[in-house]
Order: sequence, then structure tokens, then C-alpha cells
Amino acid sequence: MRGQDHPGLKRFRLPLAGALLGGMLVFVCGAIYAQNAPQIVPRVTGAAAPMGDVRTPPLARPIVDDKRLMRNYPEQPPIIPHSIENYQLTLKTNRCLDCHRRQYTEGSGAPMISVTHFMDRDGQVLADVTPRRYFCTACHVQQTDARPLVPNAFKDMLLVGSENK
Amino acid sequence: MAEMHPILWTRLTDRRLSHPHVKVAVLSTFTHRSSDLADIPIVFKPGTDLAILNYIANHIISTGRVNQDFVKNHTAFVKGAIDIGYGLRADHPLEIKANGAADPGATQPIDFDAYAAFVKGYTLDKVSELAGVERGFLQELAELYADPKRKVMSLWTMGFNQHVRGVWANQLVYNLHLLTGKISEPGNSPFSLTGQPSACGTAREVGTFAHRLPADMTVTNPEHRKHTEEIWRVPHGIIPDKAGYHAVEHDRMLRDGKLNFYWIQVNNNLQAAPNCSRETYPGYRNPDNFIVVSDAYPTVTAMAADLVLPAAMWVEKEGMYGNAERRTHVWRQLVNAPGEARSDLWQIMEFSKRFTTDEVWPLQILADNPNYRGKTLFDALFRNGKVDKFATTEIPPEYKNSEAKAFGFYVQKGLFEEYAEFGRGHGHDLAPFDAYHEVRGLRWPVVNGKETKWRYREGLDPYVKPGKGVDFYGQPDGRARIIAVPYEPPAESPDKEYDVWLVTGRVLEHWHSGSMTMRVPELYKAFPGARVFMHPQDARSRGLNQGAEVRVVSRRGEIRTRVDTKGRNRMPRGVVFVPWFDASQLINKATLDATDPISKQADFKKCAVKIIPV
Amino acid sequence: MPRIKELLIWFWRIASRPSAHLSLGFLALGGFVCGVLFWGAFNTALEITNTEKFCTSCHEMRANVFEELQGTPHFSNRSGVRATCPDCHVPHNWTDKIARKMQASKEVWGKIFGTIDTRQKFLDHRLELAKHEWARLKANDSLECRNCHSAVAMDFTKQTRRAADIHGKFLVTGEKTCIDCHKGIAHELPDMTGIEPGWRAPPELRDRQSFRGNPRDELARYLAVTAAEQERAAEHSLRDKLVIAERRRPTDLPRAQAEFQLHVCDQLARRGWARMLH
Repeated sequence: MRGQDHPGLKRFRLPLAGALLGGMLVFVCGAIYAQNAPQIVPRVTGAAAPMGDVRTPPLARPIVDDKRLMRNYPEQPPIIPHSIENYQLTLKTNRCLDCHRRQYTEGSGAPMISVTHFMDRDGQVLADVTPRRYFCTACHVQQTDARPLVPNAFKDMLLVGSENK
Repeated sequence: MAEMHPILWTRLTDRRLSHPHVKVAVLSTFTHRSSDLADIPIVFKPGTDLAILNYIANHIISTGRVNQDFVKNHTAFVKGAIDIGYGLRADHPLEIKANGAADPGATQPIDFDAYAAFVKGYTLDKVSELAGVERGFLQELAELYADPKRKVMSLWTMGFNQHVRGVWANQLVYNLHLLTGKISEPGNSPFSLTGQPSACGTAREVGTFAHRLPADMTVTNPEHRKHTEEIWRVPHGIIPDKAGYHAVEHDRMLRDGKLNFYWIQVNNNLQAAPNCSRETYPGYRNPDNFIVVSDAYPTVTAMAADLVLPAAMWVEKEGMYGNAERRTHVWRQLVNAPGEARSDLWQIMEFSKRFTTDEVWPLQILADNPNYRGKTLFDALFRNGKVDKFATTEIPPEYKNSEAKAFGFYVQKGLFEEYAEFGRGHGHDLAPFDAYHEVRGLRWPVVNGKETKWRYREGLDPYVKPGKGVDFYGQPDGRARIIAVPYEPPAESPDKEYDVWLVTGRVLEHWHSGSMTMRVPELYKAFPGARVFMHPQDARSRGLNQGAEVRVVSRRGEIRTRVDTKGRNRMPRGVVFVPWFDASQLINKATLDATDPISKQADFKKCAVKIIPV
Repeated sequence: MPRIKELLIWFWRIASRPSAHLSLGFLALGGFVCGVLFWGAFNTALEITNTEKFCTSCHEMRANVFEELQGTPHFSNRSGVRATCPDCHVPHNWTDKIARKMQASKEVWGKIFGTIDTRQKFLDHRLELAKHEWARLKANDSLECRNCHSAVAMDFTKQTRRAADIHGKFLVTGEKTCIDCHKGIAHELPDMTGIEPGWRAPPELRDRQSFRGNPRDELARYLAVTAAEQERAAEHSLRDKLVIAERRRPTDLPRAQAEFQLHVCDQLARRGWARMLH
């Protein structure tokens, strides 16, 4: 059988080529579609089978390298670059202020909290941290080593400005 | 509240920390960031809040601290229907068993003595035992309300509303404020925060519910329908007289094939719906149905739809919202939406051009109103001489307005002025549209250009006539209702097999289903995925380490997740918490689709699950 | 008084007389066995009261402090080594242990009278209770901490820089002891109003602008740390900027020049300081 001609195939040659071309077209279109189709990122779009079982990655670890990062925009609350595990932040005591309060910064070596935190709602400057800024973790968060799920097109204001010039 | 209303929480914190006499009591089914400010930390067993509230009423009465004047002049006592079921499907054994399910909101008048006798059963001992709360804490809490010298604000979020007896829970808090007259004035008020500061005005006020019309009117009231038809300039009889399906019913009807077309606008319903793998998803994928989702993101819901329409967001359109404190806001369109994305308003208006009245309106109505024949719905609803009244030239040239550009008139102003007609002169007055562009929101009723900060009290609310003092004019007799309703158990409680309570909710970093916040690197990295918060001993007794992978399994569905025994939420034994923002851990596969039979809100806070290692 | 004296004399007479019925060997051995038994029983009892199980058999401990311990690194951590109640709250050497156990009689009293039998009462007493423990640990130089955490065994390179810095400054020098800074590590803290962290400047130095020793040393240290690497890095980047500005972005030139000049001045100042120090 090997090496024999396939006379029967001759009949199908044209349609075969057509089918092949068609198949390629579908493939190419499919590829184009796939590129533009929303990417499946379970954590934001759900699993490919939405009601299916999804394995859970391990809990991400907090980054505690003590590196101060640049803020993305001036008003961004700085992120917390150190461990805050088991830090008590309650009516009774505030572990964050134990280091970041003005009078403790020299001993602790921590940055002093922002001067904006010494103002009350009316902009009146106070001697100490205003009570409304007491719960630090409402704005300041730690970061974990999780990698962002989707690309982000955020641009620094300075860069946006220079583009317009 | 600390996590869901952080800005308002700073106000509370400010008040507590700068005024040492101020006390904060935090009631919850577990210890969380709000508890950090608590002088009186109370962790109660799920559902027993009803009993605690009745105990406080009992305490106020039995210690003789009822504000007699206030109660006599401004309140009336009623008794609510009991045994009202759990809003499950009608063939569910719990619904068949419930005697009062037919008319769950029914009330009948009683007097003070009957009410006092009713709450008398809620003694300190009994409630302390039932709720699992120390007597001392309960007493201290009750004293806050009872003490005539102390002003009290009660604030609550979704644990009270997403509750099989949510309406009762809300009413029971009002009872306490009404019994003591601590209401409708600065520092004295019950205040429902709901889940987001803009839920109240943007949904309820404007009437975007299956049974509602604008300004607190309902479709089942013929007077209301008539009034609405006149304002909207549509023929009489065109508004159906029966309420549509409520949210949980949508999913059931989609599944049953009784509802076949469903258009979801910028909502992640599939992720948010209780019992979603049994009740919601099958309906979306039912071949008889056609599901359309307008969204800016490929959410779980969008991915399950038959057609996805790109939606404009926030500053990509001009729009308004109403806040919890009755504040109405407007914002401008600042940028154009990318690509072909359009606002939900544009989508609806454009859609309405595709139909004529001849196609969709009853023949009889068209016969009676021949001038409506042959019009498109767009003409009937928007080109009605009212909505299209304002020219696009009223929009300042420095701002964009895609809808005005598309339709040739200032749509937002036309719609607002038409809507505002409903409330003006009825205690729901809104300012002229342009005024909202000048100020940072106004609290209705806005009368003679002045907003109203507190309602129902003379001097603060222009609708209260001089000499009245307090007037609850929402009721024809001007009296607020104090209602006698009992503690009734949740729809599902833990048993031998499904042995822990599951509570769901949110975390500070992520807004609702996380479709936006999970895409912000800093927020995502701060809280990258859901987890099950549980008590360390509950974990150890199951052989689970911190961070171990587990299944949270209910009778309806299950997810895989990771154990957290030392995060921000400290759980009591027998209760676990899973936030629902994570689309890869659809915890609503496990929740129960029980609702409050009155409000129809699903109870996301109470069902039974078991935790097993993977 | 005379009666007691009489009694003592009587006892001495019996005790000092040789036994008439029992052999010396029996008596000696019997006494030894009895002693062992007594001692064993005593120590066993002591050890039973020295377990977490015993401590948490009281509702007061279980519902308050033990509950709080469970969220902390002393209960669950990377290596799984954990501290139980007595590890921190009972001294390990015998005499101190007995002394602590004697003190505990007061706690038995408290238990009987329900001094902290509710969470509410416990919270009301928390400050007082915590102060006792802080005072005890302060007095014994944080002995129970040091049973596990030896200062000399700390590898400063494995600690965060700030921790290493503070440990070097306060702990190694003996200026402070563990409990001065590490309060509330295993349980929640009471109202801490007026209780300052260990790294707060001592009161006698607070009116100064800085309490960290001699400004001359500080400056020397600062120069040593920063000088070489920082200067070089800063200069490179500033010079790059200047070059780029000169070649491509004339609008940025004045700023770049100003920055570079500022840097040069800064360097000169440093050299000035350095000369001043020598």
C-alpha cells in the first residue's frame, strides 16, 4: 500500500484545498479572536468553568524589606514596608504611633507621620495626631509578594505632563 | 463599619477619642476592625440580635425610662405577623411549615401594655444565654439607650439587612429610639449605612426596584401609577399593576425558564447571588434564555453572558447619585469612554429606538390613545416634550456629554427635572438641576433653596408645622410605629455534619466583587485573595495549619480556600468568615438563598458549612 | 512561752533517744523513701500546676489571655516552637518558682471571689494585672524572655536593620531590658495612656533637641556611612542629567545646573565638616 497513488483523492483535491484554506482561515481568525478575547484570570473573571473547583494558591507573604517606595502620586498613603503582625491598634493602644509619633521617632528611627495628620477637619493644626487619623491601617497597607493579576496602564502624572508638552 | 465606611469611621473615631465620656458599643458575630474602637465589645450568636434588641426595650420599660411624652404624642404600637418563613422557594419544607408566610408584613394595632408584656419575656438571663453574651455587657449596652442624659446614634451595615429578619431588625432598633425619644435631632438617631454610602439614593429613592416607582411610590397602588403615568406622559394603564420578580426570584425564574431575557448593567450578579451554582448559573446558561451583560470588565457574570456590551464608567458619563444622608450629587463627564463603550443610559435610550408602541403596547391602550400609535418607545419615553426640553447648549463647552451629543438634547437634565416633579411639594423636594452643579450635594427636602439636615423635627424640617414639635408625616396619622416582633431562628443553623456558621462579607481593600479593586496593584497586593478566617482552636481541632488549603462545603456548593487564624478578623469558635470579592473563590456557591420575606434581601450572613482539608 | 519551751524539750528528748523497736537501717531507709515520695509528689503537683492545661482549666485564663495568645507568634509561627503559659509567667529555677507559686495564692483568692470572672471585669483589671507582670519582668531583667531569647545569640544580620540597630543600642548595652519595649507581645494591652515605649528618650534628656549622645560623634558616624557611596551615586546621576539637558533638553538646563551646583556645595560642606572634626 505504501507509495501507491491515491487516485480516489484526486476527486477531492480542490475541495480539500478549500477545506484546508478554510481551516486555516478559521485558525487565523481564532487566533486573532483569542488575542482579543478576555483573558481568563480566575481571580477577576472566574475559572474557565465558572462553577468549577479552583485550586487556591498559598497565602501571599507580606513584604517586610523595610524599603521605602516611591508613591505613585503625592496623596498616596505610603505603604507599610515592615511586619505588622500582631500589632495592636485599638482604643487601648496604638502600636504604629509608638514608633511614628513625633516624640518617639528619634528613639525608634521611624519616619514621623505626615503633618497633614496633625490637622482636624477644619484644618486647625493640633499638638498631636488628630484622633480621626488614629486607625492607620484604614489607609496604610502592607504589600504582599503576590504578582498583579492584569497589566495596569497607570501613568505617573509627571510623565503624562511631559507628553503633553 | 471600620472597613466598609472608613471615612465615616474616622468621624466616629474622632468623636470617641476626643470626648472621653463617649462610649462605643460594637455588636457583631465576630471581632473585627470596628471592635478595635469598642468600649463595649459584644460578639453574639448569629441571628440573636433580634433578642438583644427586645431585651434593651424590656430594660428601658422595666427601669421606667420610657419617654412618656414622646411615646404618647408621636408613636403607635403594632404587632407584626410572625412565623413568616424564609423567602425560599415555595416548595421548601420551611416555607410549607411557615404559617405567616402569606402576608409577612402584616401588622395589627396594640397598646403600650401589650407591647410591654410582649418584650417582658426577653429577660437579661434568657437573652444572655441565647446570644452567648455576658450579662454585664448587655446591661451596659441597654443603659446607653435607657439613660435619658445620653444621646445615642445607632449605625448598622449589611449584617442587619442581609438577614432573614432584616426588616424586623431595622424596626427593632427604631423601637429603642422611639421609646426614648432619641430620634430626629443632632446626636440622636438610628442610621442605616447599608453596604455603600450611595445605595439608598441611587436605588430606592429613584424607584429602581421591581415593585417601586419614584419617591417611595409603588406599582401596586393605582393612585401612584396614575400619578406616574401623568408625569411620564404615557397613557393610563401602561404601568403594570403587579410587582415584577425580586432579585433572588430573577435567578429562580431564569432557571425555571419563566424569565427568558435578562439584561444586567454593570453588576456582577453571578458572583453576588446566593446559592449561585444551583440557582443562578443554570439560569444564565439555560438555552431558552438570552443574557446580556453591560460591563467595563470581564467579570464572572460577563463571562457567563450570551452578549457582552462595553459600558462607560463613572467620569466617562454625566450622572447623579444619592447618599445615605439624602444628599444628591451630580458629576460631569470628564473623559470619553474608550472604544465603543457607552453609558448604561445611552444603551437603554438607543435600545428604545428599536421598538414601536404598536409592537409592544396593548391594543386596547393604543385604541384609546391613538396619538401614541406608530411611535418608537424612544419617542414615547424621551421625545415627550419634557425629557428633551433642555438644549445641549446648556452644557458648558469645557465638559463632554456623550448622551447629549448622541440624542441632541441635555438628557440628564431633562430626566432629572422630570423625576424631581415626583417629590416637589411632597417632602421629597429636590433643588433645580443646575443648583447641584454649583454645590457639593444637597440633602432633600430642599425647600426655598435650603437643604434639610434632620427630618421630622420642628425647626429642622420645613415640613413639620410650627407647634407640632415632632411630626412623622410619612404616616397619615403622623405617628411612627413601634412594632412587637419576636426572635425567630435563622433558616439554617449548624448541626452535627455542617458544624460551623458561615458569614460572608467584604474587606477594606476590595470593593464588592473586586472587579475594579483587584486590578489596582497596590490594593491587590495588600489583600490578594479570599481566605477563610477561623478560630485557631477550630483549625487545630481539624488538623489545619495557618495557611492550609481547605474546602468550605455547604449543602449547596463548595469552594477551596486557605485558612487564616490570625488575620484582622478574630472569629469565635464555631463561626467562619469568607469575603466574597474573589472570583476564583465563589463563596456564594455555598450560601443559602433564604431571604427576608418582607424585604426580599438575601441572608449572606448565616448558613451552615463544614471545613475539610483538601 | 514556758509551755512552748516545755513542748520543745519533750520533743527533743524523744527524737534524740535511740529507737527501741525499729532498726536504724529501717528508719534511715524509711525516712529516705518517705522523703523521696513526698518530694516526688510535691514536685509532680508543682509540675501539674505548671502546664498550660492547668492554667487554661480556669475560665478566666481560657476566655481572656489564652484566647488572645492564639493569634500571636508565641502560639503559632514558622518553626512551630511555641511558648506555653508557664514559659513566660513562671520562673524556671526552683527558688524563684516556689516564690512565684506562693504569690499565686492571691490568684486562688481572686478565683474564689470571682475578681475577673467576666470579660468585662477582666478588662477593668487588665492594667493592674499587666503592671504586675511588667514589674516582675523588669525586676528580673526579663528572665523568662531570656530563657529562650538570648541577647548574645542574636544574629543581627538576620534581623531587620532597624531592629538590629535598636537591639545594639538598648539591649546589648543593658540600657533596657526586653519588657521595656516588647509589651503586649502575647496578649492584648491595657489602656496604655501614659505608658511610653522603651525607646522614648529618658526624661532627663527630653528638653534637648536630640538625646543621642554627642553631636560630634553623630556627625562623624553620618559622614562615614553616607560619604563614599552616596556621593558617588548622586554625582553620577546629577552629571548625567546635566549632560542630557545640555544636549537634548535645553529647557531643563537651568534646573539641572542648579541641582548640580547644590550637590557640589553639599560636598564642600561635608569636606568642611570632616576637616572640622579632625
